[in-house]
Amino acid sequence: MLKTIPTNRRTLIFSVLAAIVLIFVPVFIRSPYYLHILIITGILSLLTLSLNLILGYTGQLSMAHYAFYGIGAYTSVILVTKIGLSFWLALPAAGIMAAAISFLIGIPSFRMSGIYFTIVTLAFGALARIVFYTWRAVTNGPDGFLGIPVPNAIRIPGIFEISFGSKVSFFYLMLFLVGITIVVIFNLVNSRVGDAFIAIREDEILAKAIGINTLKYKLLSFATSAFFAGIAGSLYAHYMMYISSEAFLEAGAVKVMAMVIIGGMGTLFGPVVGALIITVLPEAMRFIQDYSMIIFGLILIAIIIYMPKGIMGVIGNLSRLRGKRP
Amino acid sequence: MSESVQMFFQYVLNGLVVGSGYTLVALGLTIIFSVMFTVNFAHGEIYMIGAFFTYFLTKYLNGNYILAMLLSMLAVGVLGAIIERLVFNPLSRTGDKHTVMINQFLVSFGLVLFLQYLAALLWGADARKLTTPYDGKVLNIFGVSLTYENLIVLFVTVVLIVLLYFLIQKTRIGMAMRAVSADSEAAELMGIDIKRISMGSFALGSILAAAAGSLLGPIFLVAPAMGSTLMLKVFVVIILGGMGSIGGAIAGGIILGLTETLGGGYFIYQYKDAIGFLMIIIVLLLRPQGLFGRIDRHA
Repeated sequence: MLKTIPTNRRTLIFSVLAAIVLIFVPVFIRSPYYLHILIITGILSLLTLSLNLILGYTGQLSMAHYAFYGIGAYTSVILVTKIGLSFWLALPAAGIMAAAISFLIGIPSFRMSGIYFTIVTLAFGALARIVFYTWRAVTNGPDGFLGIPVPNAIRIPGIFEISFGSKVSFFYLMLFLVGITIVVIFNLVNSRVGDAFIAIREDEILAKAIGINTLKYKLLSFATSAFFAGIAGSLYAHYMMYISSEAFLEAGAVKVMAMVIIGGMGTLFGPVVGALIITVLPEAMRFIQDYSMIIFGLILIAIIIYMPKGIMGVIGNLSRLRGKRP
Repeated sequence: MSESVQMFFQYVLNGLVVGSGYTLVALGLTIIFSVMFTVNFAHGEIYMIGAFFTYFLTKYLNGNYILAMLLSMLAVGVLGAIIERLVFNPLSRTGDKHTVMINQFLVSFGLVLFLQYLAALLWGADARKLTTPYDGKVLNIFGVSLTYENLIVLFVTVVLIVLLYFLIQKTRIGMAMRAVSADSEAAELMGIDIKRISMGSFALGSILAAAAGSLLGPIFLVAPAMGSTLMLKVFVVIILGGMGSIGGAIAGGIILGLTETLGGGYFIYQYKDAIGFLMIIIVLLLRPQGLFGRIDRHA
């Protein structure tokens, strides 16, 4: 059984410490390049956290999350540039759109066995990419959208104003959103809903037998995770200020899945760790940049064979091995 | 023959050719799934490697395309066996069938990254044309042009399917494969060496993929990414035909090939690739087990 959440108290202490450290990061790290890496890691963390919810906790392998990421991005951009909506409205709208579409896919496919669900999401992912590329009227195809505005400044007249033109402010925005997402997921997973998710992951037939409405909970998990994926997409678009259909290729989807697996499926911080490693490592080891994907492939294979619980999974187990109570 | 009838038959022919390629890859995937209960996501990469081997061997052998294809199939078969032994076999004891399937599926992701980017590193990411000595040679029947390469594709596909039939139905190894596919535990108890049958099945699937890569290589271009694009189509075929069904793989491949060329020719060219994916959705809504599949008991 995968080790899921460590004791609440330990998580709390760790998170508070981590939060304090992270809040002070921009004070010490001034280079826009490093901040950029951290911001991208954060955005990808939202994506991996979302995938972890459906894959790690509910045990359903979804290949559609990169498509939700793209859908969120395009939804947000279209709402802001063509309709003039404020980013702060477009952001949740992006999530809701992704969640709505996930519902449409989920309802027919969750009734069948797990492998069919995976293949449907795979097909959907491919379909989405074709649509991004071909439906130029809406998505501008490979040309994409240039000059996407940054999030609107937050103004409280007379007191303060936060604008999002700089990387530092974006870093805090991202930190805030990732933090909130983790808190939401933590609460979700530790609730009865979360118990249902884990029950479905461990043994779906048994879960049904004890009266859990697996269809409902699978849909809930899927839609929630699609929501966060959509939000990640929106953030991505407004940070990069440019998106096109070429930003959402299949290779990215496999990379995101690798992040979740390496970081540790079914753990709280695993996805963040995975995103961090896979984003930071190629930058840190420039000299092997050409080989990075090849090495990741090997790492992924090795992790699945020798360390299937991922990094956070192993760390979570270490304290148990040392005799401390889990 | 009038022009529009000619065009129709041209589409049908092209559809059969492309469909044959899909069929061969789907057959390989189906064999692997039937025997090992594994969904090999890296199957497209094996197809791609087969195409590349044939590309290089054809050059090296001064244009002897047929021999190059056979050697490529052999080499890829060996490669497949190695991959199965090193990567998939260690996972086969990690739990119940469902867990093993998920683990093997995930590990094949790693293989996709590894193989595709290795190919890009070794051979460059650009697309190449696999030129054969039959390039440009065309047969013209009633206005429908049949390239020699098209003929080879159809011929080789039929031959392979017939050989496959004999292997699976008329040999002892085939019987062992069918036994493992039906009930692997019982097969093991009867003394069948599951490890060897798994390795052999994976090799066989790889050989078929390599054949497909070699056959379609001259028609489409050869590039490291050719596997990924193909895999999605192959999953369409599998869903159409039903997972684990050989007849389904053949039927599904032909159907997809035909609908793509006919649909693309007569209706909407740009969305040609999307046709398959839309078909999946329709099939799943109306008849999820595909044409020949059994209702899945592993829900």
